[in-house]
Amino acid sequence: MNISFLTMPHVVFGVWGIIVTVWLLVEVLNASEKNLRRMKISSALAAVFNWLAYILGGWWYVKFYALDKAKILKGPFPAAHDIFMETKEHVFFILLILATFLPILVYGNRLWENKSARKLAIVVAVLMIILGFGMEGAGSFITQGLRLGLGGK
Amino acid sequence: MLDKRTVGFGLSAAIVIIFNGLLVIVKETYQPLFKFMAGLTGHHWTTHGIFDILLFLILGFLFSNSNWQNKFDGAKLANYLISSSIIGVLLIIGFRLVEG
Repeated sequence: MNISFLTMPHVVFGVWGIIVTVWLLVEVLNASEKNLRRMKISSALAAVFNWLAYILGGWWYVKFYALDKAKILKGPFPAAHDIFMETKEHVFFILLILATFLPILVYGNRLWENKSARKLAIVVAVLMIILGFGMEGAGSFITQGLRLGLGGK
Repeated sequence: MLDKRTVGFGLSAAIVIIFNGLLVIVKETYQPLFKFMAGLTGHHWTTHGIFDILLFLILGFLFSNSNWQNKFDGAKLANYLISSSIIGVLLIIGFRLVEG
């Protein structure tokens, strides 16, 4: 099996992380005692999916990325590594920290009656969604850099 | 009012996000630190993540036991997190653009 396929779970969990964060955002915007359970589930899933994206992507990055990095740097689009990968691998930690903080916020406060906590949850979710899309976008540039490094076919 | 852990870990997150960006610049420009971090776990990035997570947990628990609960509401903490996220991202992207 091509080792590049091993990056797919990382990408999938990253996308699921975005989707459940959007779900959480919708629940918080309509917060009531009735959807408390859904807010808790979606915040916990956002943390779990981002952690899985981190562990699986990190494992692949440390174990296999050096091969792709060499191909990218020899190709016509070295910025795919120099700018996009170098930025992505470190900006991701911001997303991971926010994803870890999110369930602490949701489980620790009565969001439906606490406007202050609700505002904070909305901001954290929006930041996570923006960063999540940033990760996906940077990933596509890295893939393009590798494709060009392999001959552009 | 926010609960103690939300304030503690929210503040911790804001600090660690800035720390994360600064650590990128320092480790990339100071090779002994880069090598030290690479030597600890076999890869500088793995160590970087562990540093971030440990600092987040340590500061989070420390701040949760402080008396700052009344000093921070959701809006203030949200502003801290927005500002730190923007600064954290700019530190990393800016450094990469300058370093090329």
